[in-house]
Amino acid sequence: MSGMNQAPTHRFWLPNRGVLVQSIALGIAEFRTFYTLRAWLAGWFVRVLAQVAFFASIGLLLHSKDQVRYLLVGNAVALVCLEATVVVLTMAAERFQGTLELLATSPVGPVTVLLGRGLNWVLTGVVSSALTLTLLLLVFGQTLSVPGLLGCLPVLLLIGLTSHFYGSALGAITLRFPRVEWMVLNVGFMMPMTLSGVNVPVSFWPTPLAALAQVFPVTHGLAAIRTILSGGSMSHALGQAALEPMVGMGWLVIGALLYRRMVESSRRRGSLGLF
Amino acid sequence: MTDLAVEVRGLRRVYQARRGAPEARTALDGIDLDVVPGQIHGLLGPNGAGKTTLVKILSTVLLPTEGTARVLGYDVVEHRQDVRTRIGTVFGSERGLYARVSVRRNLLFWASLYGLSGRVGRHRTEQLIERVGLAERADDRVEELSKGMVQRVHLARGLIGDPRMVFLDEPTTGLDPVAALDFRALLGELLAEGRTFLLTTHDLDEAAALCAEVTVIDRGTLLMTSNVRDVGRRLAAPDRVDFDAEDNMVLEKLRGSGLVNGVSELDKPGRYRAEATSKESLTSVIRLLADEGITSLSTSPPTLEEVYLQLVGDRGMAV
Ligand SMILES: Nc1ncnc2c1ncn2[C@@H]1O[C@H](COP(=O)(O)OP(=O)(O)OP(=O)(O)O)[C@@H](O)[C@H]1O
Ligand SMILES: [Mg+2]
Repeated sequence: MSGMNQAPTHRFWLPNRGVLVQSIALGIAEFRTFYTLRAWLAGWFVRVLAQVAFFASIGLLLHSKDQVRYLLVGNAVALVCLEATVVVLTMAAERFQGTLELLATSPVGPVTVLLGRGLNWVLTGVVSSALTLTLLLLVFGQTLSVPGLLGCLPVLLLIGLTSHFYGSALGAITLRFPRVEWMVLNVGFMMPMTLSGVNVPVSFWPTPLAALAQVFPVTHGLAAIRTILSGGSMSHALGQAALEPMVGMGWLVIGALLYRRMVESSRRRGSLGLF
Repeated sequence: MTDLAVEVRGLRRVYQARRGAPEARTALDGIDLDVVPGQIHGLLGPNGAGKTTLVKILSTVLLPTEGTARVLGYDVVEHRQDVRTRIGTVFGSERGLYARVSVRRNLLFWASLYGLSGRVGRHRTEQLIERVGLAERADDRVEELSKGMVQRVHLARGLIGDPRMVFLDEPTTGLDPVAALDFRALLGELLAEGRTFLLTTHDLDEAAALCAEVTVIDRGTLLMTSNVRDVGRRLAAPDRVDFDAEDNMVLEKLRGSGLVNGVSELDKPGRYRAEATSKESLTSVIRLLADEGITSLSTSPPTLEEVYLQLVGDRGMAV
C-alpha cells in the first residue's frame, strides 16, 4: 500500500482480461457452494437428461429414428442456452446483494462487467449439453462418432457465449425493471427454444418468424452441429457456426448499450441500490 | 482547479415520486461542503438527514438534481470516470459483498476491477487481509463472519484500489467497543498515509475522536461545519459551570440571581451544572459560588454532543 496507484483508464468496449479471469473464479466458487459434483449429477444433470429424453421419446411415438435424433440433438444443444441465460438471475442477484452499485461505479467499462457476470454458466452448460448429447445418443441407439462429438464442443461453446450475451442483454432490462427476472428469463429462453430449430426446423415457421430466428442464439450453432453429427461437409458446418458468434456480438452490443442506459437512468432515479 | 478533496456547491437531490413512493422527497436541499485533504471529515445528522444521499452522489452512485460536486478536483457528473478510479466507498451494511464466497475471493475479484490482476492483485489482497486483521479468516465465507469482521472486509474492499479519497458510510455501526476502537486505530494509520476520509456516523464520541472537522446536516440542509476543537465555541449557548453543593440554599440563591438560565443536577449526586446567561455573568456565577464556600467547580465549553443536540433539536425518534 505504498504509492497511490492509478486504476486503468476506462474502455467502454474493451474487456479487461484480469476481470474476466476473476469473474469466472468467483462464479465457480459461488457455484460450488450450492453444487458438489454429486449434487450436480444427482440433481441438475438427471433433470436435464430426463427433459431431453422426454422430447426424444416423442420421436419414438412417431416411430421415426430420424425424429428421435432430431429432437434429441436439438434439446441437448438447447441446454447450453438454458444454462447460459441463467445470467439473468445472476444479474438480478447482483442488485439484490448490493454489489451492482459497486460494480457499476467501479473503474472498468460496462462490457467487462457484463461479460464477466455468470460466465461460469457457459462452462457448465457446455458440459451439460455435451454429456447429455453423448449419453442419450447411445441410449437411443443412434450412430455417433468421437470426432463428430469433439467437433461439436467448440460450437457448443460458441452457442454458450452467444446465449450468455443474449442473457446479459435480458439481464440489463431487469436492472431497470426488477422483480420480472423470472418472466424475462422464461420468455427469453422460450424464444430460441421455439424458433431456433430445436424441435421443428426453422423453415417450418412463416417467413417473418424464420427471419427472426436468425438473430437468436442456438439457430446457427445448432444447424452446424446437425451438419457435423450427420457427417456433412466441414466447410458447410463452419459457415453455419461462424454466424453464431456474429449473433453473439450483436447481443453483446445491445446488452452493453442497454446496461449503460439502465445504470444511468437508475442513477438518475436513485434506484441503483434498490431491489 | 481547487486543492479541496471534496467541494460541494448548492447540491440538491430530489427523489422523484414513483410506484411505492408516491411523494417526491428532497433529500438534499442546497448543501455546501468543503473537505480539506489529508483529514477525516465527519458528516453528522439524524436519520434521514441526507448523509447517505450525499455520499452516494460523491461516489457517483447517484446523480445530483442540481448543484455541483467535485471530488479531488473532478466533477462527479462530467468526469465520473476520473472520480471512480480515485475513490473507495464503504457502505456500512451487510450488502455489497459476495456472501457465499471467501474473503480472499471477494477481494481478488474487486482488485481486478481496479486493474490489479495476477500477481499484483494477489499481493494487494494479501496485504489488505493482513492489514485489517483477517489473515486467519481469509478462507472463510463472508456469511460466516461476525459483523465486525464483515465490516473489515468492506473496508479492505474500499481500499483495494489504493484510493486517495475514501467515503465511509457508518462504518462502525454494530461493532462492539473494542472492534470500533480497532477500526478507528486503523483509520488513523490510513490517514497518516495521506488519504482523505468522509465519514458519516451517529457516534458523536467517534466523530470527536477521529475527525478534524465535522459537518452537521438535517433535512437536507447544512446546520454547521466546524473544526472539532472549536466546536463548543460555535454554539451561541452560554458557558456553564459544574460544582458540588450540599444544601439547596446555594441552588436557590443561584436561581434567584438572574445570572443563570438554569441549574440542573448531573449524574453524580450532589453535583450540579449551572448555565450562565452570558460570558460576563459566568464570572459573577463563579464569584457567587466561591462566596458560598464552594471550591470544587469547573467550567467547560459544550461538547460536540451538546452542540449537536442543540442544533438538531431533541426530536427523539421523529424524522
Ligand atoms: N432511493 C431512494 N428513493 C427515495 N427516497 C430516498 C431514497 N434514498 C433515500 N431517500 C430519502 O431521502 C432522505 C434522506 O435519506 P438518506 O438515506 O440520505 O439519510 P441518512 O442521513 O443517510 O439517514 P440514516 O442516518 O438513517 O442513514 C430520506 O427521507 C429517505 O427516505
Ligand atoms: Mg444513511
